[in-house]
Amino acid sequence: MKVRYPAKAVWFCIVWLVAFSAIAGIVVWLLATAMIGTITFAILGIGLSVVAVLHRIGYTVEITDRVLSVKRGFFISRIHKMPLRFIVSTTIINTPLSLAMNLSVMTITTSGSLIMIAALKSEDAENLRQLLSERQG
Amino acid sequence: MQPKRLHPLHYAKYIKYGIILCVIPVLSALLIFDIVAAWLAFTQTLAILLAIIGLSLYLWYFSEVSISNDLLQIKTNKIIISSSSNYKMEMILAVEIKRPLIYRILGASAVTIYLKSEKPKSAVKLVLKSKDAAEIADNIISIDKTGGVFSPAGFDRFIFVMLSANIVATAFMITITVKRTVKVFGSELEEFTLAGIDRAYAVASTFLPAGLSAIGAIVLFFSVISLFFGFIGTYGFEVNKSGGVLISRGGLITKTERRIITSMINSSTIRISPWGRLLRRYPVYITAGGFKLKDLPLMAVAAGSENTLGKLLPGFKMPTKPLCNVKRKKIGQYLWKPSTAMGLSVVLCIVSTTALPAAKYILMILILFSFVWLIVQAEAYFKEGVRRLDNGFLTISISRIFTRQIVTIYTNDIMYEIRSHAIAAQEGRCDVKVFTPSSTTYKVRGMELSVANRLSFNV
Repeated sequence: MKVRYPAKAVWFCIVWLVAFSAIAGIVVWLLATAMIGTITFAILGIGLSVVAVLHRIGYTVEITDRVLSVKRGFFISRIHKMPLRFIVSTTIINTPLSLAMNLSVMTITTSGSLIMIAALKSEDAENLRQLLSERQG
Repeated sequence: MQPKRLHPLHYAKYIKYGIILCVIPVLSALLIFDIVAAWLAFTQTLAILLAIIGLSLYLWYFSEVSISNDLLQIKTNKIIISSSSNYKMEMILAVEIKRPLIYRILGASAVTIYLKSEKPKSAVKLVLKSKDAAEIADNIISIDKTGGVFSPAGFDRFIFVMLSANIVATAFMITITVKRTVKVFGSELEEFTLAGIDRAYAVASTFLPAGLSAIGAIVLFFSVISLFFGFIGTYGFEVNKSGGVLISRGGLITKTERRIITSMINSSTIRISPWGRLLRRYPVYITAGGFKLKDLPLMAVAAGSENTLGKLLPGFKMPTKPLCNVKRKKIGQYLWKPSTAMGLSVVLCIVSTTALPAAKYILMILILFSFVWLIVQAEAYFKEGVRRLDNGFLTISISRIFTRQIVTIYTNDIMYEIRSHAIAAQEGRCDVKVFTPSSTTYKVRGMELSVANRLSFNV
């Protein structure tokens, strides 16, 4: 099974990143001037949004017979691999925004590590969890 | 097994804070010889102390520890809420019985039961009567009495103490202890410590230049204390093997016994420090789920005969083939930090010869340290890597600052992270992180990308 990062997940991430940039902008505005705060907000918002768009390229979650591998990253590529047999738990997190966009955030844990998959289609996340619980034993 | 009640010392932490709360106002009044104020403080705080003692006794009376149907049950009553925790016996991988002097006088033992996973709980600590503690430990991990596989004596023991002594940790511990004790008992202890350093300074200044003698004095003082604690901690130290269980015992003031199920051991680490290289002995540390050997190594192996560790850890083998492909590596990745440190130290040393001659010798020490760091990292360039051995175990060689570590991972419950930026990926190079159940992560730099992608799990 192979799951890809949906295009609307990028928008989901952008909304969060813009909110973060706005908070950073307000902090800078309080510490310095409104102009510097606005510039900080604009630079951070645009920069992080570009990163969110690039992050989608090559983002895949793959389950083979025994191994779960998650590949992501544009500038720095990261591949996580863990054996299915040792997965302890999976958690699906939903927020009002993610529910509105039909997306879910998923965490997968083993006894010594944790992977967070930022946004998958809700049905993909459920299928992934189902498959993981089937293959765990 | 009949249910056992916890020892009252299990609740000593509550009483301890109560006593501190009560004693401080009384002591401060007594120190200024105000007996009336001292009596008033005593009567006021006595009620608090009695309430805490009463509460502790109530909790103690309703506590219960039992083992039945392969389950360890711990029942505690918390006034309104009573809780009962069950732990499957198959989830327990190590038991530690500690008997500090005060516990021995009061007939108690602290039993720490280590669990397979780090989360949500890695260990359970109980204080029981010595007899009950031994019975519970025997029920969880039973052992036969066998001869010692490793019991350092004579010069070997001295080397073992030297390898396990941690000057930095001792210095930190002493500083914290002195600061905390000074708050309660006044500044005598602080003065005593400073007097100790002064004496060491007098010794050091007879043979060291002025700039170095202060550092020499501090190192000498803490080394002596660290070695003293080391000798006490390793008194009667021995490691045995009974069936599938590793047993390590030792200690003079605090007697410690650890029982670890061999098949549950996640990893063993041979630490090759500059100190160990000089003494030709390397300390070995192990981890097993929530259990980590931090204070004392499991044993010390002689250089060149590391494979004797296989007697204690079945399947342990030193790697015979190289763990990496040097051609794919970039030397800059290993040397940029030590060479920057060394360059800076050299520049500062040159400047100090004219600007601040007294600091010259201290900076020379920095040059020496960064030179050793540079050599160790140059060695890492040739030796750092990861490979699965023929017997299925994963072997990792990494170098961190001055110490090279040879790690053997026995479990398959691990995760790999393969990380590379665009240029490194183009050159077929990456960094590999290995996550283990003990929450320890090993980072291997400059691995061949194709080899890293082929790293497998034995499942």
